[in-house]
Parts: sequence; structure tokens; C-alpha cells
Amino acid sequence: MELKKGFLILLAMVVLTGVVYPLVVTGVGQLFFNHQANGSLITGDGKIIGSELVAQKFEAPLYFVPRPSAIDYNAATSGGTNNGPTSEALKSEVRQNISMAKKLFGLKESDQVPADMVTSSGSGLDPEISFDSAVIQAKSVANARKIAETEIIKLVEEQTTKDLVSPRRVNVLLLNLELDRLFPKGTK
Amino acid sequence: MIAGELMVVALIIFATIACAYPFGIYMAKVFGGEKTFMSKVMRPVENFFYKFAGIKENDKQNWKQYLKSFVLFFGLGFVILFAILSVQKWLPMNPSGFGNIRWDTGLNIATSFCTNTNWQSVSFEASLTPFSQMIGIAVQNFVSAAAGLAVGVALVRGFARKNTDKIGNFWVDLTRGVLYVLVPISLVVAIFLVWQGVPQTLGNTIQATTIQGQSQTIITGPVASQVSIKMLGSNGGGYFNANGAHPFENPTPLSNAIQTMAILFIPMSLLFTFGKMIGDMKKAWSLFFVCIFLFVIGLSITMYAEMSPNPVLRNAGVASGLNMEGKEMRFGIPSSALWGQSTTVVSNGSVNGMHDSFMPLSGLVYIFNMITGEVIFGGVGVGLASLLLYSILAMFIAGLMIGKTPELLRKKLGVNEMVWACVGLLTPCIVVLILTAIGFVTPSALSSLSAKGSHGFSQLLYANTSMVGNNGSAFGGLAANTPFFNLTGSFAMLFGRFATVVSAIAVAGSLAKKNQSPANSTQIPMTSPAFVVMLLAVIIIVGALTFFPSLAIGPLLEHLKMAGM
Repeated sequence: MELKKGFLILLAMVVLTGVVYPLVVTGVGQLFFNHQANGSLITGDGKIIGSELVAQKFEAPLYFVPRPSAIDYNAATSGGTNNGPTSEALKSEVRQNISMAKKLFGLKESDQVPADMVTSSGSGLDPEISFDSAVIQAKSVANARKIAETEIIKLVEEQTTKDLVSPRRVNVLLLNLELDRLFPKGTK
Repeated sequence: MIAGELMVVALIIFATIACAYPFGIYMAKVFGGEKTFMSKVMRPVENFFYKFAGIKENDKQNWKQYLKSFVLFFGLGFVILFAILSVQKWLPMNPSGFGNIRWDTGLNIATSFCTNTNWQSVSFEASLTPFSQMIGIAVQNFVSAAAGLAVGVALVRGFARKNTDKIGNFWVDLTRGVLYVLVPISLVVAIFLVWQGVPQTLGNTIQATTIQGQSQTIITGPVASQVSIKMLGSNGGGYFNANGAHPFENPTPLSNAIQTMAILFIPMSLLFTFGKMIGDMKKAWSLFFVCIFLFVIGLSITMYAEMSPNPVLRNAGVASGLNMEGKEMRFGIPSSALWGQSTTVVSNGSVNGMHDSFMPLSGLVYIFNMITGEVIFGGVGVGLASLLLYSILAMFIAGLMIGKTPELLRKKLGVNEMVWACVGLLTPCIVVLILTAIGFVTPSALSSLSAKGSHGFSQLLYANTSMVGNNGSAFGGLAANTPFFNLTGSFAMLFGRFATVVSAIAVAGSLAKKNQSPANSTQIPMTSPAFVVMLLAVIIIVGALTFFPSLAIGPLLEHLKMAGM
């Protein structure tokens, strides 16, 4: 008797919370927030380029590059390095990222690199970099596209978040799309 | 910016408190069967549920019947979830063509989600079909939370009632928890999250061609509906492996703020539900003070640790040396620390950054939060239950100190209450220590650790405290999908859940039978500073004394090593 009660109430819960509830959210989401509900996709020439929320791989110096990724920007999965804060793995990871960044962005040996640019994000798909990390890439992008660095910095500033209550940051994919739109020289 | 980010942290905490108070009172009405503003919509659904399942609303149960129903419901949910996972390959909605789940992994996942733990030994987006996530996982997110709610409410009834052996009806409490509490708020939060950018489809895998011509697979699905309940129901299991760090689960600072509030919301509200049910809000504020005190101290430590430079980064030439490893840019350091603190006190277990990469002192605070038995607000329902068991323990010790019969809320505490309080609070600690010791001498367990030395020990300790505490967060470096961790983990989660639940329901039954002492007889009223200090002391001593040696060779040692770098 109790078993039957339990089974039937669970069945009712499955219908309510496993079918009706997600379908209602899907319906409302698709109707009112269609763009977001489908993954905030960006299209160009009728093809899907990616999602503005998900980092994709870019190669310097024609484009700005996102933060290091433990999963090589493979969005079919997600995750961080899980390197411990004092581990040798973290040490070598950071050193490697620093020398790579200095080489790619043409920095001096004595230059300091922003923390977010040389540490792997938690998701491996972090779409954003700090304002500082965009600025240190500006020179190499400007050189590759043969335009003035100030133009690039201006674009970065335009694309930077303006609120005062969250970290100051730039979405890499949106920044690169603007870059291609305004200075199309670099596109292959 | 950092000033603004710190302000947001304070704002999130105050906003949660402001919402929790009225909602707590609302929940007291719901579980008391009173009319609320939701009744118009939900009462017909509720009646239909009772009629459909043959439940008589006014059939009250004694504690043994109540517990029996709880166990039965757990068992049914477990069998069905395990079955779904074992045959998901042949079920509908399998766009990525995933295979069936291996038996030991399936056992672990089913235990994990039915015990409200949400420990995940595999990455869900890469192994579970949208069908399994919707019909299997998301349903348990609701019902395991509602079952926990029922247990908390039943224990409060034990204190509030006298001379009866009835503590309510499990089926009714379960139904009301889902219909009046979890579904409405989840719906609101889910829609808010979709607006912020969390996908909500019926399972689509999108092939994109990036600007530089590479192909990228983007996974969407019923994400928002699942994320909102996993935050509210102290579940924590994500749609994606990276959990709340994934930009699809948590796309903006605003979605992060709402989700942090959602973690704390129901557990905090329940303290006020308790106050309303026993008819004295001042007593709720006493318990609230104990929780918020421990919460703020832990938060201050983890905030301090995360905002200090990591010598490893500083020495390598990183500007500021701030530990951004495993964290997301849009949350920044303070909001990541706040989330870590919230998710470990509330047995939620979701993460918005990789705890394995957080600073050693944060790891220490997070493990402490979990080993105290998840009482700093704690899991939905069971957190309140554990806090009341701690109160019993504290008053018993106080009674010994002043040489009088211990009382709590005008109920004399006897052997029965003490035995169950000890079972509920102390046996989980012992299981954590034993499992950690076993893991430490088992080669196959050690080979799952990604780190050596003190940090490796922390990984093992964290895993066991997380599973026994029904938290579910992890130091992700641990490769947990092995028969060893799947099986010991299943045991740990079952033990942690049932130690609390059985004790709470048994104490509820025993207390309800007693008469209330005269109103002026209580030696130490719950509203007195003496009670608050005693309760705080007992919580800290149980956590600290039992685990000091483990914490010392794990996170504390690592912190000292780091200080010397």
C-alpha cells in the first residue's frame, strides 16, 4: 500500500518536475529569450560562427586570444587544470604561459603579465579577458593589421564592460568580430 | 572595481536575508496546511496528487511510519534512476549517441542524486543523455530536496507539539515541498537565467565553424531548468562538468549573484520557518546568529586568502600575483570566494571556480564547513535538523556543567535524544576519518590523486567530507570514476544521509511524545547569549577536535609551505 503510494507520487513528480516544468521553461525561454535560450549563437554569412558565451580558439597576432584552456577550447567538454595552488604543475604551467604570452604579444622580458592571461580558466571556455590582458595584446594586433595601436586600444575600450561592480573585462569573440568589421585587412 | 565587487558580496548576503525572512514564514504556513497566495494555483494540483496516489491528507504518521515512507521513497527513486542510467542508450533523446552507464558509476550517480549529494564522478555533458538529465537527474533534484525539507519540518514539529506520537505525513510534506516551495521559485529563477544567457532547449548539439575556420561543438539542452533547481535544492550537480564555472550555466555577474542567493535562500529561510512554527521568532534569530557568525568568519578567511597573492604566480612575474587559476574572469576573486563559502556551508556542492586550485586556506575553510556536518545553514531541511541535533548536544553538555536536567525549547532531553544526536552528528565524522585512512593505504585510491604530499591528502579528505556531508563538490584533480571511489563513495553518501535523517525523525518522535515544561522553567533559554555561545562552541569543538590532525597535515601544512615560498 505504501509502496503503491510512493510509486504513484513519484510518477506524478516525474511528470511535473521532469516533463511539465522543463517544457514550460523551454516554452517561455524560446518565446521571449530566443537568442539566449538557443545558446547565444552568432552567425555570419548564414553559418554559425560560435556562441558569444563560449571561448573559441584564436591565433595571435591577427586576433586577440582568450585565456589559456585546460581543454583546448573544446566545447564538447569543460573544466580546469585542477592544478593545486602550490603544485609544480601550476608553476610550470604559468611559466610556460608567460613566456608564450611574451613571445606572441612581443613583450619585453621585464614586463609583467596580468594574472588572467597566464592562468587557465575554471571552465576552459571563459569567453572574456581582463581589460589589461587586452591592452597588452593591442600592439601585436596593430602591427599584424598594419594600423595604429591607438585605434586598437580605442576599440578595446569600447568593448570593455562599463559597470563598477564586476571585473573590467572584454569578450574576445565580440572584440575580434569588431576587429574584422572595422579593419578587414587581416581576414583571410 | 574591487571595492564594487566587495560591495556586491555584502549586497548578496543582505538581499538573501531580506528575502529569507518572509519566505520562511510562508513555508511555515505551507507545511502547516494553511492558505497562502499560492493556494489558488497549487491547491487543485495538490488535491489531484493526493487523489492520484491514494494519499489521505489527514492521515498523520508516527516517527516509524514517517521514516518508513522516507526510506521507501528513497528506494524507489534510486531503483528508477539506476535503471534509466543503465539503459539510456536505448531511450529517447540521445542526440550524441551516448552509451549506457557502467554499473559502478550508475550506482554512484543514483546514490548521489537520491541522497541530495550530487557528487559527479563523470562529466555529465559527455556521458548522460538529455533524457537521463531531465527525467532522472532533475526529478531527483526536486524530490530529494523536498524529502530533506520534510525531515527538517518533522523535527521542528517534534519540538512544537506535545503529548502526541504523530509528527506529520511524509507524503503530504513531500508534495507540499515540491508544489509550493521548489517548483515556483525554480520556475522564476530558471526564466531569469534564460534571460541572462543560460540555454534551454530539448537537447541540441550545434556544429559551429569558428572565425579561423575550426569546427567547434556546442552543447545545449534543458540547462536553465536544471541549474535553477540544483542551486535551490542544495543539490549542486551541474549540467556541465565545469558546473557553475561554465559560461552556459552561469553567464554573467548577475546570474552569478542570483545563483549565490539561491544557494543560501531556502536553508536560511528554514530558520525563520522554525521560528514561526514554534511561535517565537527570537529563537530563530539566535540560530541565525550562530550560522551567520560562522559564515562570516569563514568567508573572511577565504576572502583574505584568495585576495592575497600566490607566491607561485608572483615569483613567476605575474602582475598582482592573484590566483586566477581555475576562476572565471566575469566573477573575479570576491564573488568566487563567496560562492565557495556558500556552497560548502549549505551542502550544495556546485562550484563557480575549481576548488582544487583555490588557495590552501580556502580549502581548509571549505573542508571545515563540511565536516561540522553541514549546519551553517546547511542542506535543505537536513541542515536545520543537524543544527537542532547540535543544540541538543550543546544543552546536554550545559546541563552537565550546571548540574540540572537539560532542556531545549521546553522539552526535557533524555537518553534517547542524546543517543540519536550522537549518532546523527558523530558517526559521520568517524566514517570520514575511516574512509580517508582506507584511501590512504589503498594503492588504487592513491593513483587517483593528481597531487602529491599535503595537497594530495587534501584531495582525499575533501572527497570524503564532501560525500559524507552530502555536499558533492570536489577537488577536481581526483579521478573519481574508479570502482574504489564509486563504491566507497556510495557508502559514504548513504551513511551521511541516513545518519542525519534517521536521527532527526527518531528525535522528532521522541520529543513529540513529551509534555512541555512550564514556560519559566528552562535553565538556558534559546534566546540567551549563553545558548548561542554554547552552540557555537560545540560546533567548533566537534569540527576542530575531530579533524584537527587531518586539517593540519592537509591544507594547513600546504598553507605554511606556501608562506615559506
